[in-house]
Amino acid sequence: MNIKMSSQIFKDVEIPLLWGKRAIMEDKEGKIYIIALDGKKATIEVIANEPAPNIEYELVETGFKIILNGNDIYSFDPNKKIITSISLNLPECELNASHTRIGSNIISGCSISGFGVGIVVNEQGMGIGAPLPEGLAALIV
Amino acid sequence: MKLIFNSDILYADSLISSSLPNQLSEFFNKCTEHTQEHEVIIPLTTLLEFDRKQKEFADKERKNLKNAKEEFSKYNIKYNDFDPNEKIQEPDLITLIKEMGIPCSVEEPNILDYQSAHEKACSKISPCPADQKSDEMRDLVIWEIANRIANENNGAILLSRDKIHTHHRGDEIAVKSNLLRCNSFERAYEALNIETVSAKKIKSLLEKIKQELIGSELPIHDNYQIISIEKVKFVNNENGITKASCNIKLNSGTGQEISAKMDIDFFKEESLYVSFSDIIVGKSESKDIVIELEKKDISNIKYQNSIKKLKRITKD
Repeated sequence: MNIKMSSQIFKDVEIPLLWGKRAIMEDKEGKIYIIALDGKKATIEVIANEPAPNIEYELVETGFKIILNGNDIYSFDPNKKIITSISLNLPECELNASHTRIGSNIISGCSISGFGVGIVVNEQGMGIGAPLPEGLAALIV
Repeated sequence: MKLIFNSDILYADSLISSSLPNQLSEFFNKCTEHTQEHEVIIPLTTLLEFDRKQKEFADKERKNLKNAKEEFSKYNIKYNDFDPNEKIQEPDLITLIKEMGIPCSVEEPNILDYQSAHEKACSKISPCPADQKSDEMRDLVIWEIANRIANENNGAILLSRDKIHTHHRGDEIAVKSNLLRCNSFERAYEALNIETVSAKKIKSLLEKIKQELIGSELPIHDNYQIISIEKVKFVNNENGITKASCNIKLNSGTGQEISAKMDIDFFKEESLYVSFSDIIVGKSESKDIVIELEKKDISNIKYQNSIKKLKRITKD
């Protein structure tokens, strides 16, 4: 995949930003897509800044929160493009025009090429350029 | 109302310095806008967990600064010397909450809290699950503190997602001590009679079909009022229709209270279908009611376009 997201350029990556077990992508208009890869098949949860079809959600002050099996999973603020974990124990992720923020880490103007995952975020922290973790569903929509 | 926090609701996923995470500051803002009578209680256990996490974040930041200094020195780059320990400070959670204009205090467990938690953990007494492998004393100590505070104050709210705190095993004890358990800020808003964004949305949809509601079999009159809308959940379908479900309480306009489960389908701002089930009017059960509304022209290609875009992105 070749994609420009926030101020980062990803070339030849399979997933540009992997937040836990969710792929995060941004289209050319700056709209966000969040796809869960923890099941057998990829499940779109957020599509172009909105809750995807057949996904349970609740409105919150800043946008909406995704609910899975009765549990609040994360919230998404479509205006500021901030994804906040509720029960995933992951650092907050913000994508804006000038930088990508993961927790308190700022990534700006990076070109990431030839990795399975461009930016990987998990409970332990984050990294730039990583192999694709095992056990994820294929990113096919 | 005393608001007691567990560390799975009161947390920050990075080092905080001058302000609380957004979700917390929003909650405290709304509480203070609503009334000045709420008070935040932080069990010492919660504070210790919060501080431990913040120390981890701070240590990492200090290490980053130390590494940066070493890199500068390695390449003889001049900089104003600084002490990473002084630059990176850990937050004082209680002060930050108080600065939001809401009273806040730390509650230390007393000997009875420890003894009761210890007994529950060892004897697997509710809310401790009988089959739990790890004996989570911290959660039981918070449970004891929360019930004690609720008993002492004619009620309290415990904000926690923890299984021990939210499981129905704890129902009997929580009811006795008048402890309301909320597993999200939205449920806490409902418990505090603060309207949620979702409830506002449902209210605005119902306002537009007021005449249809009055003309339906629902026993309401012109001056009916919505008392509460709770536990709202939404699901969109592929056509762009949103299905919402919630619990609703109404005043009929003649003094009767009506409670029901409500389902409403809407497209953009137009309601298409409303149904009420499990209806209780006063103390009597009533049959389900379905209100079919005027069919609207639904043509939504929004999702199809977005999916096409996503497919292009993943294939590029």
